[in-house]
Amino acid sequence: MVAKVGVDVYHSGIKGIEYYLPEHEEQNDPIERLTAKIGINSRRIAMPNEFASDLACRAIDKLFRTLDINPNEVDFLLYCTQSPDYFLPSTSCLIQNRVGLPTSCGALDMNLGCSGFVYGLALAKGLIEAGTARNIILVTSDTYSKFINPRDKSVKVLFGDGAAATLVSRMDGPNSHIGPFEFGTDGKGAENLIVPAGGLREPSTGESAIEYEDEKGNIRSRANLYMNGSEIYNFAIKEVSHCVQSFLDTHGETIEDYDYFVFHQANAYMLEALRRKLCIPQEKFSVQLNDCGNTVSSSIPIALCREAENGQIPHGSRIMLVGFGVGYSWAVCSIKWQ
Amino acid sequence: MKLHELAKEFEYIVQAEEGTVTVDTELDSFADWDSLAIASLLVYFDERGIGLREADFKNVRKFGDIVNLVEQYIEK
Repeated sequence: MVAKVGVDVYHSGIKGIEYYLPEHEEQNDPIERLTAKIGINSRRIAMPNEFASDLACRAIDKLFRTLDINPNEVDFLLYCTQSPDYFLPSTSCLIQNRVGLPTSCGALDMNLGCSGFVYGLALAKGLIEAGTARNIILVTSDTYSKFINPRDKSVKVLFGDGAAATLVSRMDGPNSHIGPFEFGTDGKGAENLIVPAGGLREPSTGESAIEYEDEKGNIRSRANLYMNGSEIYNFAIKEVSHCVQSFLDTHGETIEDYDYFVFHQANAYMLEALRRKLCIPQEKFSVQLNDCGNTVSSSIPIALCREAENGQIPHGSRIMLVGFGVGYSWAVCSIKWQ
Repeated sequence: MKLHELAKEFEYIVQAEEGTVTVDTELDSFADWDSLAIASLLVYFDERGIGLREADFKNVRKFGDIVNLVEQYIEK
């Protein structure tokens, strides 16, 4: 007699998303032509004593309340940020303590920008489907405003601060609701979206704080965020559309196989260019940045949450998520909305 | 490359009403162009095998100057 060996198969899915935006609102100039082009009328900006971890904790608190989660049931915290509280310790350890997650909870930080949510979903799926974790909170939070020189219009009008908390859990049923994925990285583009000074390679000094003016009249220092807008646009239009097409080809799918598309909310102009290039119907394409701007790794979960509230993604919808940006780093995945 | 297609794309880039851009349309000084406009025009040409660079647009005053740039590139 041959003994039947049982292999546990676990599946994962998104159980809920909540987000938090700082209260302070900054308006973009409504007369400025660029404001209409980028589709961002206002952004939420963290106060000087308000940090990404504070926004993250607020988002987690909202998630706990909405989904009536017992923090003791959370066994992993994944925190994606490029605005950490300290070099060390990991901000995820601080957040674990602040929101009352058990000490048996795993916690780690990920340093990624606009692709971070999709990468985080991949890690969460891996932990759950390997049987390592059952309930994971994936938190994305950034305060790019603290890197931005107030006199640098090339980035000031685009980025807003914000956080999102997503509960990824083990799910019943025959299939996973998260994945497949496709990833991409090209470090050759690192210099096109960067805060040059402030790390160990180029520590903050008096010299790095010296401001200079670029040819467009924008003022910044090496301790501020710098973005080469043309190169970032070029990367997004070429690489992201290529990656989406490659993802579809790999899985024998077409745009028509998806009910909805949530791309990283970089700016409305870039989103529209990608939508047109990929021939995605307007009514299936999320644009959610008018009142919050580009919130980096939180832009996808914020858009997902809002589209769910608006009834755009009913239960069972197949959604394509596409994150792309600083690195360069990009990722595409498919999810089934529950 | 057809003129009306290029004009249509340019109208999209500068957010102008359809049918309003002709070869005589005067443009903002290049220094006033936003980075999205420059980038999207370069990507548009690049995807059609026309390798213009940002510097090539510096003396553009009218839409017709862009058409001339394209024609010169193709002739080369």
